[in-house]
Amino acid sequence: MFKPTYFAHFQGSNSLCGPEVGKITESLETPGKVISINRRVSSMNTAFHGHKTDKSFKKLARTFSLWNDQDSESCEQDSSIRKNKIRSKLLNSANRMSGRFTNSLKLHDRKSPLPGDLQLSMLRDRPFSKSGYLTANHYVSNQPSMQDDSLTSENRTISSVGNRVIRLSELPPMASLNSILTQAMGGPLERVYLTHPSIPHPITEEDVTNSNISWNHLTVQLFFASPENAHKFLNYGCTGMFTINGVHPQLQWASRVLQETTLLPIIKDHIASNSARRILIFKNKTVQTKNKSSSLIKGYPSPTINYSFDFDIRKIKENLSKYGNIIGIDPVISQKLCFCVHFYDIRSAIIVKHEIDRADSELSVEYEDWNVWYAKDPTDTPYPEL
Amino acid sequence: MISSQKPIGNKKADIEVAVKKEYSVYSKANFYLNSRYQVQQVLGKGSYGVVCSVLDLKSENPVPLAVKKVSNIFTREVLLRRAIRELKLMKFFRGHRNIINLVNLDIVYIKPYDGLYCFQELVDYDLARVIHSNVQFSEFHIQSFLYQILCGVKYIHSADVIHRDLKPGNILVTVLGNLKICDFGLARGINHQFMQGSSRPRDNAITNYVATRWYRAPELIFSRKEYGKAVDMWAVGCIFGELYGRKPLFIGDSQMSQIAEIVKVLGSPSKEVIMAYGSHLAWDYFQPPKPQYRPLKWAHVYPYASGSALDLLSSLVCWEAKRRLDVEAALSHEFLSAVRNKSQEPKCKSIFDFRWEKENTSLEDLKILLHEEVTQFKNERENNSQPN
Repeated sequence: MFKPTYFAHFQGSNSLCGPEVGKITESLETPGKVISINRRVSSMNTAFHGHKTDKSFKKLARTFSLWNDQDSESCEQDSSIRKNKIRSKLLNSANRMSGRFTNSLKLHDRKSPLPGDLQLSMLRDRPFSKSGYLTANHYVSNQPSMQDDSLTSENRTISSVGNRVIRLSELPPMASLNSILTQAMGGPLERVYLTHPSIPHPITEEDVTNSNISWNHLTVQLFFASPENAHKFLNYGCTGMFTINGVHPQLQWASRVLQETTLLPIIKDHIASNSARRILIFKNKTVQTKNKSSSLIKGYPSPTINYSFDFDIRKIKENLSKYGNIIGIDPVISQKLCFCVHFYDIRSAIIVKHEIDRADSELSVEYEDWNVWYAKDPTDTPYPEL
Repeated sequence: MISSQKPIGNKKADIEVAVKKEYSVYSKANFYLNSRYQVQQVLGKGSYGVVCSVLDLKSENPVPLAVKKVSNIFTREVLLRRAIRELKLMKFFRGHRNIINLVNLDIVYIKPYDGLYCFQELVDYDLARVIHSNVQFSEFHIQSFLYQILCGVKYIHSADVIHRDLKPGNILVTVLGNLKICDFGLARGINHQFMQGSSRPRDNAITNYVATRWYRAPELIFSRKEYGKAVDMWAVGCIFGELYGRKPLFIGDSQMSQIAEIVKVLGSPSKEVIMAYGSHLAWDYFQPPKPQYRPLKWAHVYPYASGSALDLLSSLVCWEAKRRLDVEAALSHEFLSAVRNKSQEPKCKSIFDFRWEKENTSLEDLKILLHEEVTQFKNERENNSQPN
């Protein structure tokens, strides 16, 4: 039905530490095993070097896809044995695979990893093993329960405790994530999910456009960084002030099954200490010779001095989309060449930022002429009270 | 606010109500606002009134807003009509990413503060400021800016409305490159089904004295005939050129010099074009023995622009309105393919109904209508209901 690019991208990112999916998840659930995770990551990663990546990568993507489909059925049949088999198949497949990013990132090559590498490697696993694909199975099986969480005055209070995910439905026939996020307020987002009731995993805007799906059949889930932010948005979103293309969407708390009620500590840390956001700003370091006399002609700026000729946005999109799906790339108003990238997920931005900051990584070489930092999320704006 | 204030004539009562409601005065701009708003500075003044930036202190974190006060509306029918038109259109187009968002409204009847106060989201820059400063552009910047303008224009045109004053100064830009069309003061509906049935012929007349001169389409200058959405597309073409040239494409300091500037680039129009204008002015201006000009190549005007950019430009900035690309065709142009996302190109859900213009003919009718509009907006804003 949908081309598997979405899977492929996420799988690609997952493949950063893909083989460790099960082990790390397992260890995370058992506090105090952090060091052993690191050891496993290093050893597994060493084993991947030298393998050809693409075939394995595609295979893994297919496996995940297959697993999703099969797992949906297994949910209905309540067959946990089958699920485990598929899971081990997945992990075996992952073990055979050499992650196409492991080469470029070389996260575990170093004898003494940089601080934060371990945490990042854990981060890379989490979104896709726990929140991404595993969760995706619940989209089908738990669909009816999602309806139960509608915002009646009673369950609004009940559902809202610790909840940080708002579900938007009854959208206008044509909308975009950009247009929704422009109107949303309350605080920064951790990630954005776009879902269709008959598709058992989140989809992308590209899928929607390519398949000509009407947006009023879709659901958007906004994962706020904190429950307080989600509450703020809900307060605002339920007023008539919140409209998207002239339509007031329906807002609900998302089903508890679908979400992690609290952020992973590592993401929380990145948000708190590094102001991590879904959006990265790239600003060119090159100093243009712009003095007033040369750049202004009769009071107007020079059209050539203030114009960068060799800037290829398609290439940048291609490069960065390997680290997660991109909602959009926008120009930034600056005296130096500048643009910003909006990811679906804060994890992608954190990983990209980390890679660019890390000496000798593929991205740091590619973007050596650019300063990169997190931008304020467009949803992180205060909303006017009534 | 509005609902608690009495109409003109009971000044003392108004002041008493205002004091109770804790209104305050900002004398530099003759603003009279609820004390929840703290005026920051005057952003601009014009014939319509004044715009100030304010902070809304009622929220947990102060919300920056722009407040446009439309003045002299209670004494001049034409200004009141224009204010209602703008208000209705801003309500109608709310929620589109590339159109400025109306946040709140207020009417003040107390002189000298009287007028309609429109509270809008505050945006960092306008496009004129961005173009005419040393902001670094690339083709991607220009593609993205043009694309967003066209998305906004598509939404407006899909409601059979023409903006009639598109120019960089009326396009706001956030620091993260989100463009928003504003100022619907000259906009109007053009759907014929709402034009019929007026007892007064002038209600159906559509004035040609619109658009800022540098962005005014030639048919607005020469023709007395009805014009359409193509006047906006001309303006979009001029803005597109300005994005490359970093200065307005046609800088005329009078109506005639404006034409001269256009002729320098586009060359003299063909006889067919002149005939189509159906005006003596056009005939006298262009026909021999008046000098005839050859068109310049766009590649000479903007030598650093790509071929596809120049192709799109030539399809927007051309004499014949019929030959100009409409907004859908412009959006489909190859130049925009790198930034295009069809999900961002919605159409308005209905045609803009402007029958009220015929149904409300006196100043008193219009005052009542304005009051109703503001009250309705406030109700919609507060209730969790479908906005109209």
